[in-house]
Amino acid sequence: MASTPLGYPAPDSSVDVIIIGAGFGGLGMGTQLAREGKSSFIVLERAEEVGGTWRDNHYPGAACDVPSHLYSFSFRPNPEWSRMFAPQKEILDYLRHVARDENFHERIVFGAEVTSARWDDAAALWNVATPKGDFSAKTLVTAVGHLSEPKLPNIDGLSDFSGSLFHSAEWADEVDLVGKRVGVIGSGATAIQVMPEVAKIASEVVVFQRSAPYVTPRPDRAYSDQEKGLFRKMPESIQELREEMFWSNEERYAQRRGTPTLVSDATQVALDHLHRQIQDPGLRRKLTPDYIIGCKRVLKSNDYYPAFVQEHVHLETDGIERVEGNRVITTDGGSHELDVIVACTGFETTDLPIAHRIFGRNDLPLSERWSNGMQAYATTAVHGFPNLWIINGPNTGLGHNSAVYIAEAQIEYIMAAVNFREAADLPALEVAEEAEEAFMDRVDRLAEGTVWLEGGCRSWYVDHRNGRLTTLWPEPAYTFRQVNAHFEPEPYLTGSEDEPVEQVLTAAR
Amino acid sequence: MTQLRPRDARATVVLIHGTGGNAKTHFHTLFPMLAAKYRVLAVDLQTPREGLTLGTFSRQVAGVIEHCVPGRSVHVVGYSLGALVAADLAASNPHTLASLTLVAGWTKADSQQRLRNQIWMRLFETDQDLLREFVTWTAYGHPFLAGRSEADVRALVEARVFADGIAEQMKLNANADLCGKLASITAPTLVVAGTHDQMVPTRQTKLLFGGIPNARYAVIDSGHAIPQERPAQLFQIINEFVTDPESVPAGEIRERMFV
Repeated sequence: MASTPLGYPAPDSSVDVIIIGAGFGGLGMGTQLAREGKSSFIVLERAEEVGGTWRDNHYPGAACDVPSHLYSFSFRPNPEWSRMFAPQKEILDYLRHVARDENFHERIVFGAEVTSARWDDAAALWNVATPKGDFSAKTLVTAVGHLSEPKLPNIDGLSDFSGSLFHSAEWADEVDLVGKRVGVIGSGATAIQVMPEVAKIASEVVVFQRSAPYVTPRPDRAYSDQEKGLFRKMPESIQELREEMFWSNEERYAQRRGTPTLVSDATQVALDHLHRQIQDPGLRRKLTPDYIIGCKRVLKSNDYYPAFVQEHVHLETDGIERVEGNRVITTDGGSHELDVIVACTGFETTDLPIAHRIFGRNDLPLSERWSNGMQAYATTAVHGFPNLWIINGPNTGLGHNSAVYIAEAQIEYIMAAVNFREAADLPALEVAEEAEEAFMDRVDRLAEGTVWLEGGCRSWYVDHRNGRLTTLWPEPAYTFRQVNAHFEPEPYLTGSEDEPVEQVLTAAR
Repeated sequence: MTQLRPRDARATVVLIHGTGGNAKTHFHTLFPMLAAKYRVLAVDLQTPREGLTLGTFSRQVAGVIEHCVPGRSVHVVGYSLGALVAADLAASNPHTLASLTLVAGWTKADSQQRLRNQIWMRLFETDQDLLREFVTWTAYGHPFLAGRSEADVRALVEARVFADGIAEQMKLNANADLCGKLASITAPTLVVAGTHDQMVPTRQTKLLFGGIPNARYAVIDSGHAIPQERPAQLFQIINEFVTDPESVPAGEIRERMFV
């Protein structure tokens, strides 16, 4: 196939592949397509800038809690990471470079939020509508992330709060927090990064905690000039470091299977950290989690606990009853007068908004197909949705390792699938329903006995509509790659009655 | 003997620990990883006061296998001295083994290894505090130690205990000789080496690979303490091998694992 010249095509002309989203997933997919140079493609991005999560989450203190040499593409190592855990701005810069250096920045259509994507069976095309025009492609890849739709808590009167209210992923840069009374709702991965920064400038900070997180030390440090020089001159040294980080993270997976000795070791590390940093027995008790470690995300911070030792920082563990004017009223009748509320309350993870905008065969919305919980064959293909591939969809989250490693495995799978379809000259690949169900049975079996299902907590890892582990991969990251990176065509060929499977395979090979 | 699930019908993996360790200390993390997929038997070797040979230990392991899984073949994994025991077992009981994994094992101690063994013996008799430091320094790979704080390294030193029978095991380490037995090992074999191993340099693990006819070779960027430094990677390598022992053909080197 002739490669399309750079620059995205005029609306109504068709490309081979449309990618939705220019975060880690979409940029990784774009890189591989651009490098291979066989398929024409465009990337539809709702914002005016690449970066996804790392563009939106620019709150004070934002950083990754997977080490940066691991939380980056294996095919684009970066010798310049300033620290073991690079701040948000550096990660965003890294992603900006990907699109430019891999020569496909021109193929990204900005301001193009997908309003609908419909499969046309007769033409075997996806028709995608955006404010920037309509586009069509044989293959649609969604890479919209699973932490991209901010979720506000359902609190009576919150929307009428008389001060400033915003979600951490929609940080209001224009609101000056100096000398203000600030409420932080939540105590998860975002809150523990935001709060210590806000406490540096605010006159008063109240953290509204529903359940205490496990917090472990964050072994962060800056890389020296000689280390960065070494990374530049001997790239294999980056790879060695990456492997060390990867396998060390993988080790933590064993804790998630609920092995008592490992669970107690991990718990001890977190509780020792709490005891070293907090002396007050009452505060310690409130900050001690009441569920098994790993059931929710285990957090890393050196400055979260110490922030509570300051006079002007308060921990509120009574639930929020309602908001009245500028006051947050708790279930025991207490009240806090505030100027600003920052909701660090996470994201919509089980009912993804994009699923309401994708319509497969017979105009079925993906959200309806998933009304009882998300599921996909090999975590990326859904029966009834031909030539649709999902990056970062069901069962791709990890409680212990790098999400970029997962996306790379999926990208490898999708590249092989796209090439297979082309080589076999098939109009569409659609996974058989039985294969999808069998895959999900396997995932369910793997999830049995893990702390996510049996750790006694409520987390975003589990879909409360069906009690299944739908967002998380229940095995080690390495196993994800083993199971989900290698494309096998058979589950996609059961429906083609006119042509025997063997014939198709021979043609493709 | 404690059997958590005596009627477990899954494939059985037998773990044999190394010098001075036991099932719990050497396979703290590897055991639960394997136990999610296999029936795992981890043996605590019993060291007699005198007359210790590889045969002493391999007969103990054979007895446990015969008792727990009579008539069934098992996957045997030996670490360090346990690798020599496993190889001895495989040579004398060829029908018991479905596969053999030798982690950080050697064939016959060479002069470099015997020198370390002598230093160890001397310190064991004269200065066990210094021995704790020496053993910590030799057991772990340099990147592993360098990547830890001084307090963490100190904790590793202080946690080290010298179990009963360790001196007898050290003598066995110096004198054991597998050379005449390797050719008779028929089980599909995986030899695993730590690239930074100072106690069993890769020169030695390569000789195991060279001497066993049906062997393949894999490396892990670790010191000698592979089950402590890289348990997750070791698990994946063992799991892959046990699932399909011939997936890497005999005589070949397993390619680096993608990360």
